[in-house]
Amino acid sequence: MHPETAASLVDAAPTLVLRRSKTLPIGVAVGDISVISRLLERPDTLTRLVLLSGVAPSTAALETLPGHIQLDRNTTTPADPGNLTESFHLNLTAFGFLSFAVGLFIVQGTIGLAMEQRRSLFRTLRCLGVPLATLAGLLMAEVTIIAVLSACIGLTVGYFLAAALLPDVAATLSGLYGAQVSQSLSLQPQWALSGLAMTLLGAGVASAQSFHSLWRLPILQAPSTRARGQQVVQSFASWAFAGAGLIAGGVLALLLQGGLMGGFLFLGGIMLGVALTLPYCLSHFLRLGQGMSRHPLIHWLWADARAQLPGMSLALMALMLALAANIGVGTMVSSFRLTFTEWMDQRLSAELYVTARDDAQGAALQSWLETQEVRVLPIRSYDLQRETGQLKIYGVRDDLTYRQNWPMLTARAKAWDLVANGSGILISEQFARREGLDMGNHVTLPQGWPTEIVGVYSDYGNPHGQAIVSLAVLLQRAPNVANLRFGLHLPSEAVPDLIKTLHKRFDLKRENLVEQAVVKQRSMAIFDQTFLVTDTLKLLTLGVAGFAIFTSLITLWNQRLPQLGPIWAMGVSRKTLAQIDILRSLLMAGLTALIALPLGLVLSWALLVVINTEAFGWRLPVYLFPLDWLRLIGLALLAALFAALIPAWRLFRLQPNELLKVFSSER
Amino acid sequence: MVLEVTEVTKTIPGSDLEKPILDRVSLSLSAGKTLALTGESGSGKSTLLHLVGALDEFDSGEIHLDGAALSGLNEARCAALRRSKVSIVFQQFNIVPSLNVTSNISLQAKLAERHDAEWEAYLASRLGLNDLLNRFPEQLSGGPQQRVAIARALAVRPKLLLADEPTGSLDEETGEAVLSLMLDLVRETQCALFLVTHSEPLASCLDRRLHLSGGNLS
Repeated sequence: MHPETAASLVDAAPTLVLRRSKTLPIGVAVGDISVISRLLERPDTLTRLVLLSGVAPSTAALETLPGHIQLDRNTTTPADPGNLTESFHLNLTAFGFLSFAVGLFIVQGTIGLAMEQRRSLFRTLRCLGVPLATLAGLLMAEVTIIAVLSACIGLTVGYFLAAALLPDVAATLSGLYGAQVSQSLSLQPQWALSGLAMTLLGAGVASAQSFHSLWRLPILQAPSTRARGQQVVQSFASWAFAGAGLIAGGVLALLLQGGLMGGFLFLGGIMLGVALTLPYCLSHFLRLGQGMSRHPLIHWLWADARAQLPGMSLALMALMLALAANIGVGTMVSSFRLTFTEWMDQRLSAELYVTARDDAQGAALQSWLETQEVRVLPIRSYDLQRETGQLKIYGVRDDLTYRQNWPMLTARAKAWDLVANGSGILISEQFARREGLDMGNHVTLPQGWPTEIVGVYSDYGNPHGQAIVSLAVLLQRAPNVANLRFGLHLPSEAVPDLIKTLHKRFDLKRENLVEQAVVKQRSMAIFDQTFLVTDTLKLLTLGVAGFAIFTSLITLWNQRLPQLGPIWAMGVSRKTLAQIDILRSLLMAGLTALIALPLGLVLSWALLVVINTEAFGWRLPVYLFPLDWLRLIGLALLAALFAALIPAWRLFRLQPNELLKVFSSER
Repeated sequence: MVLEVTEVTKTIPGSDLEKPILDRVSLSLSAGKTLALTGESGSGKSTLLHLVGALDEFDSGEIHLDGAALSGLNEARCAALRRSKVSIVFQQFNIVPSLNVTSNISLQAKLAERHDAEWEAYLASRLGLNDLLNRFPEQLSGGPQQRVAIARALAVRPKLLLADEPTGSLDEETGEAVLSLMLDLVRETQCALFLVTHSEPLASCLDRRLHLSGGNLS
C-alpha cells in the first residue's frame, strides 16, 4: 500500500506487516485473499472473481452457475498496437525523412559555401601541381570525417530528444489507439549504424554538386558566377521534367496500387515532384515580374532575384516542402478537430451519463429516473465476433435525440423509422469500409437480426465496428445484455441537483456519473495531446528551412558584390541596397509560399481522404482555414526576413573600399 | 567650374606609417575639358578619383562638384550626386551582370530620371552595340563590355565623367578604339572628363595632364 495509507493503518492493524509502495494509489491495499477477508470480517463473501483467458473453466460450467452469480463476459478485444500503430510509424518516418531532406539542403549550402570560399585556393593548388584526384580525395576525406563526427553528436542529441519526446509519443499512441507503450528508451546498435549510414549517404548526396563543380573547375580561369548560374538555370528545365515524371508516377501509384502504400507513394511523388519543378516555375515568375516592372530598381530586383535563383533554389525547395507540410498537416489536424468537435456535439447529446453497479441497480435506477422529469436513453449493447473483428450492436429507443443529432454520413429516407420497426440496421463507417458495405446492402448476421443497411454514420476514433438496431430487437436477440448505462436528457441547470440526488439515493460513485461537458473536455484534451508531436515537428521543419535560406544567402554573399558594386557606384545607397536585399528574400519566399499553398492543400487532401481512410477506416471532410494559411505564410516570410537580416546588415555596414574592390582585380 | 578640389588630404588606415596618400591636393576642371591624371601604381590616382566621385570620404579639404560641397554629406546625398552629376567607368566589372545590354545602358539614366530612349539608341549606335543589345555581360568580351559601360555612363548626360584606367584590361588596339570613341562622345556632350591612367601616350591625348607622386600633384 501507499506509505500514506500505511500510516493511517498502523494503529488499526498493529499486527499486520505492511509493505509500502508508492506505485499504488492512496486508499488502496492489496493483500492475500484470506487476510483481506478476515480484516473485512466477510469470510464467505467474494465480490468478483476475474477469470483469465486460457485458464477459464469450460463454457458448460459457466452456463450452469447458480442464480446469485452473474457472469460478465469481457468480449472487448484489445487493439493490436503492432498493426494499428503501423500507419503512425509510417507518419513519423515520413516526417523524419522530410526533416532529413530539409537538413540535407543546409548541408548542401554549407559545403557549397566552403567550396566557393576556397575556389581560388583550389586553382592555386592545382597550378602548383596538386592532382585533381588528390585534391578531391582530400576534400572527400574532410567531408567524411566531419560527417562521422556530426553523426556521433546527432545520435547523442537524438537519443535525448527521443527521451524527451517519448511521453508525447506514448500519449499520441494511447490517445489514437489505446495502445500502451513502454516509456523506457533503448538504443539498438542497428539504429545507431543506420543513423551513421544515413549521415554518410546524405553528406555524399549533399556534396555531389560541389564535387562536380570542382571536377569541372578550369585550372586557370573560373567561369563567372553568372555563367555558373546559367548552367544551373539550363538544368531547371530537366529538373522540372523529372518533377513532372514523379508527379505522374505518384498519381499512377494512387490510382493503380491504391491502399496506404499507394497513398504514401502519391504523397512522396507529388511533394518531391513539385519541389523539383519549383526553380523552373520561379524562374518564369521572376522573368514575368521583370518584364512587367517599370521602375529601374524594381526591374533590377526581379533580374537580380532571378540571377540568385541557382544558389537559392535548394533552400527555397526546402522552404516549400516545410510550408506545404505545415499547411497539409495543419489543415488535417484542424479539419480533424472541427469534425471531431461537431461529431461529439452530435454523439454526446445527453446532459448526463450514468453507469449502474449491476443490473438490479440499473433497473431500479431506470424506474426511478422515469418518474422524474428526465428522458432516459438506455445504452445497451451486444458484442459479436466476426472474421473482420469485433462488432458491437447497440439497441436504441426511438427518440428524437437520435433522429435529430446522430452523425449520419448517408441514410435512407425514414431510416430511423425502419430501425424502429426492426427492419433496418445502421452501421458505422469503419465497419462499412472494413466489410465493403454501403447503404442498401445487406450485412450477414445471425438469424433474427435485421440485415438491411439503412444508413452509415461516423464513429471517429473507434477501432472496432459498431451497429445500431432498435432496443426491442436487441432485447429479443440478446435478452441478457447488461442494463447498466443511461444517457439522461434534462435541463442543464438541473444536472448538479440530480447528481447529488443520485449520489445519495443510489450510492453511486463519482466515476459512475459523467457530465457531457466533462467528457468533451477530456476528449479534446486527449485529442490535443495526440498531435503534440506533430506540432513540434512542424515548427522544426519550418525553422530548419529558414536556416537553409540563411546559409544560402551567406554562401551567395561573395557572389553578390559584383551585382551590387555597379549599382552602388551609379548612385544607390548601401541602405537602399540592403532594403532591396531583404525585399528580394521576401519576394522569393512569398512566391515559394504561393506555390506551397496548393501543394499543402493536395497534401491535406491526401492525408485526410486517402491516408486516414486507409489507416483508420474513416474518412474526414476537408475544411479550409485561410487564416491559418496566412499565419503560416507570415511565418515563412518572417523566417525569410530573419535569414536576410544578417546579410543585409553586413551590406549596410560594408565599407566603400570593399565595394570598390569589385572594379579592380582585388576580389 | 564642374570640379574643384581644394587642399584635400586622405590617409588610408593601415598603410605605411599612415602617411597621407593624398596630401593637400588641389585641382579644378571646367565643363567640356579633359584632364589626365598619371602616376605610379599605388600613388593614389584611383583614390583621388573615388573621392571626386563621392565614393569615399576624405580627411580634410573640400571638393565641390558642380557647385555642391561634398564634405559632410551623408551617404544618401552622395548617392544622389553620383546618380545625377557623375558617371564612372572603371577598369572592369562596370556593368550589372543580371541585366542585358539595353537595360544596362539605360539603368543610370532611369535612376536619375533622365531616360531618353533616342539618345541611348544613338549612343549604342555610335559605340557599335546595335547587334549586342539583347546580350548579357558574360556573353561579351572586354572591349564591348567597356563600350557598354561608356554608353551607360554618357546616357545620363553627366556633368563629370570619371574614368579609371578604362582601357587597362583591353589589348592596345581595342583600347585605342574604345578611348577614341569615348573622347569623341565627351566632346559631343560637353561634359568634363577626369581620366586616371598610367599610360603616357593616352594622357597626351587629353587637354591637361597632372602627375601624382608622393601624395602631391605636379
